Amino acid sequence: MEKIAELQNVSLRKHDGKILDNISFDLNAGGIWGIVGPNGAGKTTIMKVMLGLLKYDKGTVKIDNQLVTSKKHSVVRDQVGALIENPSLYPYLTGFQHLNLYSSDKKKISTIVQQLKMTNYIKQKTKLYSLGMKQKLGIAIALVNCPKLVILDEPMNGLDPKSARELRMLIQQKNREGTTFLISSHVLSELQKIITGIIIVNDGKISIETTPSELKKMVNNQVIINTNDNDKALKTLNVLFPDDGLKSLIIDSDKSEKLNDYLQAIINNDIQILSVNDSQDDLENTMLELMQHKSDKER
Amino acid sequence: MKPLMYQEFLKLRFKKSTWISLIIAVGMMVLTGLTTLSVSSSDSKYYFSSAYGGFQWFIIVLIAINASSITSEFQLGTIKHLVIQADSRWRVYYIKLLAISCYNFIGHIIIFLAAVLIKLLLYPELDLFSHYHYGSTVIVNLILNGTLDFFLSYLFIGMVTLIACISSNSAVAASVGIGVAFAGEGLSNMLLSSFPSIIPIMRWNPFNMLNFQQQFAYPEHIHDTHLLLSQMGVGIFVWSCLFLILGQLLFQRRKI
Repeated sequence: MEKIAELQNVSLRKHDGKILDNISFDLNAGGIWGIVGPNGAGKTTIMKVMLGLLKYDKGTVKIDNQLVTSKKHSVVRDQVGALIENPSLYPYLTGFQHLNLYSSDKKKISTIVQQLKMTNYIKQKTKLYSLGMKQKLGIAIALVNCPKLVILDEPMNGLDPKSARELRMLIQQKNREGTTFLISSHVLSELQKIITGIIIVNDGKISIETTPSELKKMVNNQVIINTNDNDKALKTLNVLFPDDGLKSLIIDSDKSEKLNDYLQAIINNDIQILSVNDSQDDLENTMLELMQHKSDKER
Repeated sequence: MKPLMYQEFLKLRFKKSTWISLIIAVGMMVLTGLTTLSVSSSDSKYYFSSAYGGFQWFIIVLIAINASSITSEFQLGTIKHLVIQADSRWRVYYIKLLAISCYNFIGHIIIFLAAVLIKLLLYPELDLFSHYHYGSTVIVNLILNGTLDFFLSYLFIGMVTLIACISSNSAVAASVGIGVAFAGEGLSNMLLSSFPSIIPIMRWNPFNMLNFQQQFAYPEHIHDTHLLLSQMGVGIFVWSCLFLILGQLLFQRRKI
């Protein structure tokens, strides 16, 4: 598969310690990649390195097979659109003037304005914009030249649920047209709905590079049974299945094949089942659990 | 994507303060012209050849515009877009200086034209081709003054750019620049008169170069500056280059 971006053993050290530690990952073209991790993990730094905004000490960064450094990054100018940290706007210019400043083709401006539903305020000066309006303009600037790769740092910040949904749909539409996305977000539920690949960053290192479905398989899947009498249900299960050593009604994945037997036993003993839930119902839980596992192992 | 130079001009064009401050400078020139209506013929020549104080006012405007042109990019975060487009930071830096230079040139032309207009409206009796300093006509003296001021303005541009590259606040850079514009000459003169033993070195201090125009108008000023006009010219050039190069080095290392 064609790679749009490649990072190999990228390290960046500042006087107060390592910011990036041997970062390596590839982004296949045509995907929507999520980059997640706690605050200060190095997500924005990775993005800045990819854009040639930061000088790295070791390793190589390539976009579209061309080397990117802080001194040479013409490929970024030609092939990448980005929104890093906050939308960077001139308060004395209108939204339209911003797009005109950064676009290569005026026709593309009206298209992106309509797609992001910005027509009502695009001719206003940005000093009058709300946070959400600024965020949308920042995203429009990143998308206006139809780049091959779009890097969005926390794009959902300040967006109301309707706008966030519209943005998700636009990202998916642009992705279908061939644009690759690398998106960081703390609102992981938002990412979960659209990403095809995920990179987890922690302490300046890549913890995992995988797909959301693979990620879910990596952690211990548990099923939580809730009844109208949990104590009685547990006692019943321990009598009927003494070898299983159940300590609670949270059933680990290694016993999941027995779930039907457990439920049947509970029903047969006149205990009412109130709910049966998958403990790992979202990406956020999965990621946090996985990071906890990693840090426990390192200790 | 539009070329960076075009972007810089567009920003200058749409930033209201760029033009409002210039209009205020012209307004101050008119005010000076109105308050000096009753002066002698020799004095009216002096006021005209110094553009009714317009060059001094414009230096203040230039300092403020120059300071905000650099610092605002870092404050607003727009420097990221510029660096991505430019491929290298030094290019962003020199394109900004080029844009400021163009603004500087246009500003001096406007001040020159405003001085001529004020003369035509308020001093119809003043002959533009009458003799004044250096055996030249009054109008030539205005042109010379404007040219020297344009040259001297690079010392301010250099200083303010250097401070703007250190500071994240345009007000700091502008304040220091304006402070130097007002007090620099006095400070240098005080230093030179207080420590005569170190005059051979101290006379080359950058603040002493600010006496350039003063010495052009009053050649006897050499007793205070201890430099020939030509030596001051060299000093201005060297200090301006030094400040601009130092500014570039700081600009390249500044965190984005």
